[in-house]
Amino acid sequence: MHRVPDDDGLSQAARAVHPLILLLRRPEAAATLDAQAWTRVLYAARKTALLGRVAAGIGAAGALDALPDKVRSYLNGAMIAAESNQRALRWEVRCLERLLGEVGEPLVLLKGMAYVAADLPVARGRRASDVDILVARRDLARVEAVLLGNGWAWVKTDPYDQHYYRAWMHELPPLRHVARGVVTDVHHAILPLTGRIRPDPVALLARACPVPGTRWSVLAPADMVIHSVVHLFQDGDLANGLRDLVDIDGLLRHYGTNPMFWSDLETQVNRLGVGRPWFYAMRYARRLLLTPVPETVRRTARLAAPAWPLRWLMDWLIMAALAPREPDRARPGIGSFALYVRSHWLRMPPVMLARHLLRKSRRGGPR
Amino acid sequence: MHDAASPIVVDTRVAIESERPRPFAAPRIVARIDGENPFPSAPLHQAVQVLETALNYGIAFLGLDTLILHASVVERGGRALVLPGTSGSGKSTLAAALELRGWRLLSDEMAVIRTADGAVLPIVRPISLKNEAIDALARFDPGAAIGRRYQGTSKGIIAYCRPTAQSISRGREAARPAWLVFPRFRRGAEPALAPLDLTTAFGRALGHGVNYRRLGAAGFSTLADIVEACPAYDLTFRALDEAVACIESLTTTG
Repeated sequence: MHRVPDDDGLSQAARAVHPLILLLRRPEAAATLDAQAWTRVLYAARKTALLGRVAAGIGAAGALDALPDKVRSYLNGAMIAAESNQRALRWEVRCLERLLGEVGEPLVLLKGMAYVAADLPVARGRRASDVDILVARRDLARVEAVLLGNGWAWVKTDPYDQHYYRAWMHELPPLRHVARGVVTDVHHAILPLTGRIRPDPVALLARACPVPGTRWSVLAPADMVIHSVVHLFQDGDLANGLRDLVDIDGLLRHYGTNPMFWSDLETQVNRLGVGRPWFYAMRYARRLLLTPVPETVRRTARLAAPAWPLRWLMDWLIMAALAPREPDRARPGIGSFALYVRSHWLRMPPVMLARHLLRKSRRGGPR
Repeated sequence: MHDAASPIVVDTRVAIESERPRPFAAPRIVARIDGENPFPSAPLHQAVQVLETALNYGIAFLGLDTLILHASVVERGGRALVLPGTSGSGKSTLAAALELRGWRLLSDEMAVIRTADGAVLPIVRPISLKNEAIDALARFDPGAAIGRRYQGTSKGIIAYCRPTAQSISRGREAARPAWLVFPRFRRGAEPALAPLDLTTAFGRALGHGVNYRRLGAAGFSTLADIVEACPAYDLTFRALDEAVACIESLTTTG
């Protein structure tokens, strides 16, 4: 039984933690899991694509060899898959660099491939589906032309989708290289244009940190965290929520040892107007993954928290959405609450919400 | 299909269910693997084929550290004969025939190869026979335990042959690959066993890979090790007894 006293006076329900969460917090606990626990871990990790990261954590803790053969086989399989995935995407990033190196300045890698390029611990065992890059708005047309002329083609050719991506998502519609089959998303801004959030792509680009030996940059640590936080809440039903939370936890642990990081993060959160999503991300990272966050930072974050009744509702909704899946039990029906949740913290205007719903129904669900 | 109190780690859950697509419509068979439904539904009488496909799919996407090829695998004297081939190549029928001549069956459909040491892991199941192959196996050995025929499937008529007692009782024993033979059934063709060079063998085997891309470098090493260790051949045959004779001549001298 685990009780995590919350400094808001709430405490974690005195229930056993799901073994997947236990392994994410303490990989060395792998030796203590029985067959039923492993069954639950394999199922939940497969549904959230987290098995590779669990495996990397257990491997780093030196706890792999003591495990049953079958379990070790699955963990090795997940690490092999993550390594081959990263290898293919590293090659794709190399091909993009060769083509775009002279076309755009700066060229910023986002998300998974940024973690790989920066050699962050959170990249170990991680699988990414696409390559995400950020370029300056003025370079967008040339980048598009170069890619289309060198073997990339639109994944979606529908004019509505084309318009939707450019107008509302601030990215080119996804492009796939016809021979290699890898999809690249070209962004020119990373925060959605909604009521509360004030996008400032120019500043983000200016703060980007070059990756030595390449033409790529990655976002400043605080901006990487903020991007991850916004991404976490991008899909109202948090389908990939736990995975995104693991990213956030990994980034905060790695950069959090530097006190300058926290003050920079607070400044950026304030400047970009993402106080509420940051409050939630911090809250659930602490609660689920025991992410260490300084007391002062927690206090400041709470200033953006909603009133109590709403906070309890969010706790219930979000914890249900993030909970690891159990076999033979359908995913909790978050349904229309999800849209409420999303509209709430991002203060999405109704018109945008309607367009977003239309997009979701056309694409058949979350990405 | 184990319950929650079982001491075994459950790999995947395969469920075969009958559902009515609409009220009062005829029920159809739906397969669910870990709750997901990747196949179109099928008529009720094809439930067994749906189960077979679902199990194959489940195994192929388990995500173990194994390289999987579309192949039959039989073993004798601790050495495994791997028979990569597509549907219609005759690999399953040939594996069934060899089993009836004393070989142990590891699989009629997928060679599951451990990347750690290159050993082949068994998945012993009823052998799937199609169309003329059913009669051919019955003629080859009237004692073969062939079950009822299923008509009107997407692959024609299907029947299953029960594995021998030996194959079942030794169903957890891995084996080391020793020969790679690509069977090709061709009516009227003279039986022929043609050796393949290393590069050709690798390319041909790669063509039967199920999860090769997912494994990346580990997949390459595993396949390269097998191709280097095992002499490879094309086997063209028109009759089972001739094919078995070719295999016997290959594996008793080699």
